[in-house]
Amino acid sequence: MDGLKNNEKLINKIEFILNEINKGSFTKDQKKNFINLKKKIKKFSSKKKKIISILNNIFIKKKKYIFSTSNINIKNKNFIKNKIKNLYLSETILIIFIDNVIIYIDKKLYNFIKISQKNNIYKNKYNINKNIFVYLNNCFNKKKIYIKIKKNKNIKKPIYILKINSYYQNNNINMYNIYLKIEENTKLSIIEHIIDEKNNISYINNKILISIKKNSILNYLKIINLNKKSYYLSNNDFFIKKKSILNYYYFILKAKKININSNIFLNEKSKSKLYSLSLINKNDIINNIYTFHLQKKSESYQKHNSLSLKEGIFEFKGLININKKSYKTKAYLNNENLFLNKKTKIKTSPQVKIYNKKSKCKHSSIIKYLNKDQFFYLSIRGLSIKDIYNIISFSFIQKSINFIKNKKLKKIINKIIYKK
Amino acid sequence: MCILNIKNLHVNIKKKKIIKNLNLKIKIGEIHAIMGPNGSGKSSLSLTIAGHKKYKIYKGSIFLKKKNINKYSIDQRAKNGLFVSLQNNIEIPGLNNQNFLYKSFNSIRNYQKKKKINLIKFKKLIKKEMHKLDMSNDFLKRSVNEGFSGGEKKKNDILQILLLKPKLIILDEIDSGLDIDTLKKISIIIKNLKNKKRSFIIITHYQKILNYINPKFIHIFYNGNIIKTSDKKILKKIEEKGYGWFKK
Repeated sequence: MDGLKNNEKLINKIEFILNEINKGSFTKDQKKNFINLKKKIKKFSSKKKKIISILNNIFIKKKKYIFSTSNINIKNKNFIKNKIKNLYLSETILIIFIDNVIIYIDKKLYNFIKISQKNNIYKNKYNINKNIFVYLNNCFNKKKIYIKIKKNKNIKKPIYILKINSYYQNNNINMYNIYLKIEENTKLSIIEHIIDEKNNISYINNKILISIKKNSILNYLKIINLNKKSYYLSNNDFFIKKKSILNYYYFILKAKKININSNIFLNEKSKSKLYSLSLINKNDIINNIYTFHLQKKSESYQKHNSLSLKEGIFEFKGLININKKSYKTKAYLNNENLFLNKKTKIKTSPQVKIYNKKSKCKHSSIIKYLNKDQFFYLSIRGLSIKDIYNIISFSFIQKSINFIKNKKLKKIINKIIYKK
Repeated sequence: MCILNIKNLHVNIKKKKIIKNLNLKIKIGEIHAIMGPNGSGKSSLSLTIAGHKKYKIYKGSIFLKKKNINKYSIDQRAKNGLFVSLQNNIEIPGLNNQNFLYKSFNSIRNYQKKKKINLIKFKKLIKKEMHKLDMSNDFLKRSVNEGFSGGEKKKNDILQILLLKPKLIILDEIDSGLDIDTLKKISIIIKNLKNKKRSFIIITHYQKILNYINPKFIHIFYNGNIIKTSDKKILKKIEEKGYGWFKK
């Protein structure tokens, strides 16, 4: 956010990128979006007012305190109050972001973590999956939020990161840039829950870099539950070091357009398990996952499900890249799509690139739909069309939730989904 | 009082006449059997009563408990006490039996203005009924009809009848693909299900099941209509001479 103070410099940067775009292969729409964004940045006001007192009312009673000293003005105070009260989960350790500012951290967390700000220097030596939104995020954020989890810790309670997008600065663009570093021999679970107000159109650009050091385990659960008009763009990089494990589950419940790009880099004897569920309900979802097996004996397992309730577009691209050095590697990738609507368009491309002979790899894609006979069978047992949609969706969602082996996380996701 | 009254029924599929001027009355508590050669329209009749959109009624009406159900949706017919067991049960991958039966059970109860039952009570109830059919608990976790053997599919139908307690039950070839022991067991359960308020239509090719169940009437179906109605004595003639005898 500091970068926003120097609007002129920022605009210069964007102009520079625009020139690059003109040279490159970007589409007309992308250019238009960029020009619109440039106009919006000019309007971006830096007015900030005190809000901490409101939030103190919620938390001081519980002997907790607010981390941020930033003075911010939240437009809809009641909305945030209610949201926090409704979504507060007692069995978790809470961090609250309002827009891209941390406003609250549970005191208990200071035993395990260090939070600071670091200069945002964009380095991606692998040079893959770069897109316009990553550049844009870097332009907005001169500094990124750096969260370091200390080594040799076993954090039993999940850390619950609640990201509320309320647009306190009359602007509907939110850029998150977070670097999470998990030190050696550490076990923890993180839940990231992203919500916003009902009526505002929001553009959220989320960039997360997670580095998991030796012998550590991360269970990472992400829930995207925005309003029907909102846009969500996310770029996630996971670097998994020797003998470490990543279990990554993400649930795309609601938003107008969603674009998620994830890059996973696996080192020696490291493992990653990815499960996702996308609900297509008058929205467009792009889900790209690139898994890179860099060293030997690494394992990856992925299952990505999508359920189309109403018309929309779902695009899935899953690439597994097995390196020359990464022999004795195992990889599995599956994409399963269920149609409940004829007008939905699905494009799915599971891909594998293997550069050594001593690896095992499977990839598949399934597209299912409920045919007339199945509808008829369920109807003759007294189920209306609405009932059929409900029961099929419930079963499909439940199937995805059952992938979560961590009982606490499972309980929480059930609570969040069925609260809706 | 009639539970089912079919009056001058004419049914088409894509302009092809399937059922021609059919009249049939079934009183409460009666068991009727329908027999006939392949392609005579027996299954088409059951699907028409169920409300399959492919079968279009262009003349006549079907009354279920004095209500004309011609314009009722498929689920409304089921909610009014109709149960149709299909010749080939449809597989629904991804939907487990417990969720399906629980939803079906409660939606019918809800329509009939009865209190909904919670999942714990329902589980107790279903396990009790499954015990009668020698079904294992794994069945509840499996997807509806997916990977079921012929016998398991038929048992599933009977379990649904035990749970949903319909008033009119149409069983289309319930005896196909069953071994002798299972057939006997299912026949006994069907016989026990018969009571003063429940009626059956049994569509079959074989007399074995009818020997166990003892239907009051046996209708011979040919070319989209009933050409003869008789009692159990007719079974001997069918065995000796086949259906060709009726055509003459």
